[in-house]
Amino acid sequence: MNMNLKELETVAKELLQYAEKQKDVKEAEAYVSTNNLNVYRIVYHSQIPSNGLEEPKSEEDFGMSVRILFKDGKYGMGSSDSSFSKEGFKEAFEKAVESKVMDKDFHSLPEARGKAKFSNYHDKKIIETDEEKAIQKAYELLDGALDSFSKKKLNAGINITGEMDLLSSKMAVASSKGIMASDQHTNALATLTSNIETKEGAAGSSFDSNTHLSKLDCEKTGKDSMEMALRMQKPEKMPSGEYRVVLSKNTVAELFYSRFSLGVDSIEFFASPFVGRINQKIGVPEFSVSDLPNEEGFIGSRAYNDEGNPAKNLKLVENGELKTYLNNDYYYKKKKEYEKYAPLHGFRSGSHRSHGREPGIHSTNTVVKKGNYSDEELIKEVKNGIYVGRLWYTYPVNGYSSPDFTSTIRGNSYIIENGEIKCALTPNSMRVLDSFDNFMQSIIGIGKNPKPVQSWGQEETIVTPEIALSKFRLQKISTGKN
Amino acid sequence: MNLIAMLVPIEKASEAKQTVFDELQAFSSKNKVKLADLRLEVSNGQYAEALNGNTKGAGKDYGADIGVRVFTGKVVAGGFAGKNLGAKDFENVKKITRELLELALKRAKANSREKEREVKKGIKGIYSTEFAEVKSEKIEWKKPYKKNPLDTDLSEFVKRSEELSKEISKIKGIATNDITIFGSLERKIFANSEGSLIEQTRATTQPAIYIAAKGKAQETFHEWIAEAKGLEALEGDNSHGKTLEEFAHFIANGTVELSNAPAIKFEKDATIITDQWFNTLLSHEVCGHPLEADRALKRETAWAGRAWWYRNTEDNELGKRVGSEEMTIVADPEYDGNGSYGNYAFDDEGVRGKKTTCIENGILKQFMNSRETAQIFGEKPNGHMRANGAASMPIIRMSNVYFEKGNWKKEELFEETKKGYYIVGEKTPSIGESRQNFNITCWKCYRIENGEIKELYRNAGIEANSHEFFMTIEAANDLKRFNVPNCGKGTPMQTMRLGNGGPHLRAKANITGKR
Repeated sequence: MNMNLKELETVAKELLQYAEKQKDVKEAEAYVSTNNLNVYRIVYHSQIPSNGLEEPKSEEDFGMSVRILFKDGKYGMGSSDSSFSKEGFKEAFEKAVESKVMDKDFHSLPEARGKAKFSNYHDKKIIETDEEKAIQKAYELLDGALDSFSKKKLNAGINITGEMDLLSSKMAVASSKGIMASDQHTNALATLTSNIETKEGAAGSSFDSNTHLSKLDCEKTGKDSMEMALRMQKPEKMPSGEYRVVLSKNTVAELFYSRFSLGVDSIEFFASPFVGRINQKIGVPEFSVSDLPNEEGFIGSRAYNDEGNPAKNLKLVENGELKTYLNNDYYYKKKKEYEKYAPLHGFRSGSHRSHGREPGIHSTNTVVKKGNYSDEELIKEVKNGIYVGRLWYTYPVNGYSSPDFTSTIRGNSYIIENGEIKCALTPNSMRVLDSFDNFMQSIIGIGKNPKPVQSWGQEETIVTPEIALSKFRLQKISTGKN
Repeated sequence: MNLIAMLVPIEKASEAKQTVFDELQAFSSKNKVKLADLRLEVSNGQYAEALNGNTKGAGKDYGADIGVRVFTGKVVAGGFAGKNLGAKDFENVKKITRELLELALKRAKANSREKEREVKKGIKGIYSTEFAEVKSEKIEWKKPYKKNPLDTDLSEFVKRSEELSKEISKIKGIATNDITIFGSLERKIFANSEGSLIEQTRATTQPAIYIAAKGKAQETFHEWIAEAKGLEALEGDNSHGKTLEEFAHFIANGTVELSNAPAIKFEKDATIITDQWFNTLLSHEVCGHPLEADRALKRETAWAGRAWWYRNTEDNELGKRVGSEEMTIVADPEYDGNGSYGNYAFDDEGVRGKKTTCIENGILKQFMNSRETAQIFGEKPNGHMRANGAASMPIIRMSNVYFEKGNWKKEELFEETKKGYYIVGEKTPSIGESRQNFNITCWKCYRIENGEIKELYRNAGIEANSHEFFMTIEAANDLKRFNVPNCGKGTPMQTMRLGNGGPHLRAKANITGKR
């Protein structure tokens, strides 16, 4: 379904008019969306039969929904999939009637709070994906990695896996509270993991993303991945202990995904380590984090949230002090104490527009403020310790309200000695047992080269430089034989 | 059933099945493809949610989607296309099927051209895709249920969740509670170019409880009753053997009790007895996942990881000891009792699901496979290729994977434990990339002294190297399975329902906790 924003706006307006005419409607909101996701998965092994490009595939959805506040104070939502027709209007509205409930915390639909200045940040080439060219571009990932490997003439099996994803997502929303907004975003993302199957194993991963396909460099991503794996030759193990570390961008992002929960919904569920910590010092003075939705090229960028209001910058942590929580219109009106937190993050998903979901609370680009250190200076600052390149299976321990987490160090990791990289750290040989509080409070250096990261299975985008810590608790574990 | 919400009842899938089958056969003959298959699904469900005694939402709706795979070319390669379906789409299902098949074919051809180019360059490993043969089937299968989840009015779900949430709010120490009740029916159609046409129907009932408790410390816990059954599962016909209300009180009171318990301290090489509920997560993460053939063949390395017992085709642990005599792991799509989310007749490649003993008395025997990976291993397909919806690509998933029962009585395991810990209920997992080691936290942990259960501790879990842990396993004879509603795998991430479990187990592991 390739409709432009004007056409989607027209559908939203007509759906709103239809809903407003129905019996007992006090307030109505009409929302329409279209999504097209193309995924190209690379699966290669030199000694086991494999397909190279496992399968080019696509998933598409479109549809519309209404949110209705009825005169009796009840609230309901209904949707219609794969339809922008008049029958669809009826279907969506009738479902809202059937599902209406008396939610005492629902007071009204969102009011209009201005117009966005950020616009036109999408890529037509992603919206009108050329399948043949996209498949060729995905193969550039594999070819880049194979090219780097062939130059080394190593006698070892290699395993290369990863993907290129192209997403096009659009929405329009109109309401009886004066909302009329539309927005479209496009994402291009490439990630690759290269494993060289020597006795100790060597793994390297790389990631690239942009809002525009022409700025996505698959060949370089492929090369980088293999070159990182090649640098992992002759790795060594380290004993358990507390180490000075440099955390890669990917590692910092992984920690944020696991424990940086600032949505008011998480706070209300006691499912965040940040409950009751507003205006408190949570990190070192150099640690600042903002939500920045209007950044060119960053894949978490949006002009409008799904409640139809402009997506605006928000300081979350400033000079080590927690400033605010992320909020949406529902929670903003639910309790007096939540009015302190601006309702800027009413998104139905962190990655795409979704007519079938209620607005939740999602971040856009979570941006860690950059520091002054080059990558080399961070290594020097740590002097003796470990460069942690990639974490695996990072999960909270001790409940969702605790900052504690555990994880394993997978690859891209090195031992630092006398301010220089000494050698690779054996992949999968160390477990992290630490806390997000320690991360925020042990920072001794922040890099000056931030980059957006989106990890597997995550919706939100973290933009971060590398960060050095004075302590990080690691435990030696079995590497297995793989 | 309300007519508007169920504009697309599950019967629509049955009405469309001959049309999509005929279209698929015509397409396959015309284009002479190696293999083409199609899945179409319709689900009907309803839910209600209450937070702290206040209704938050309710809904009754359908979901429908369709997806096709096409494999073709001189060097055979695949293409896939899927989409959601709306009510009107069922009037044009023939056209939609044709368009999706054409799109998948276009992708498969482009993929094959690039694959052929790689093969001509002499890139080792890339091959022309092959599939193990299976018999074509024409069959209808329905998993029995007693009380249709759609026959109860939505207002009953709303009332029950709200009243229960109000009750839980009254318990001293509860900070927040959230109760969700969900029930659904789903029907899946599978057809392929080899003549299979399969229809499968089943019900799901899945209420969930979230509790935050505030005692001396803060404790949170999230758990569910989940059964591939009708609403009888709400009345005690489930793995926990409790009604929804009994279960919610059990979780709430237990979490409050935990919030006042002392935090446990780290202990190395402890004797532990794990209950069946904890073993659900243990069998899932440390046994089930590395027994998926795509992980073993390193097709999941960038996402879900690999399997420590399979380095490559020459160097692996197949036929070798990976655990104690008392460790047997079964993948069983045929199991249909409580805790059988992974029960089905056919997988999403049209392969009959077969009970497969993956580890037998400690010896690694076989992986859960697909038609393609079965062919690589030179085995018969055992039916573990599944997708979380027709619009998603099938990948290898667990069915019902569990530790088989042993010969010990549970009481004997305790009687013979002088000093140890009793690990109860599942919480969160952190697992090594090849599943070679793990750290899994539990809901509750009790100290055992001279066979007796003593004090309760919070913040506990176990960690171990998988192989060393497996070698110490002793198994009781009280096998029980529970369902897992949220296993994530694939890209884009697919959330799958499946069953796991085991009997009480005794083994050696470190107790995680404050160090």
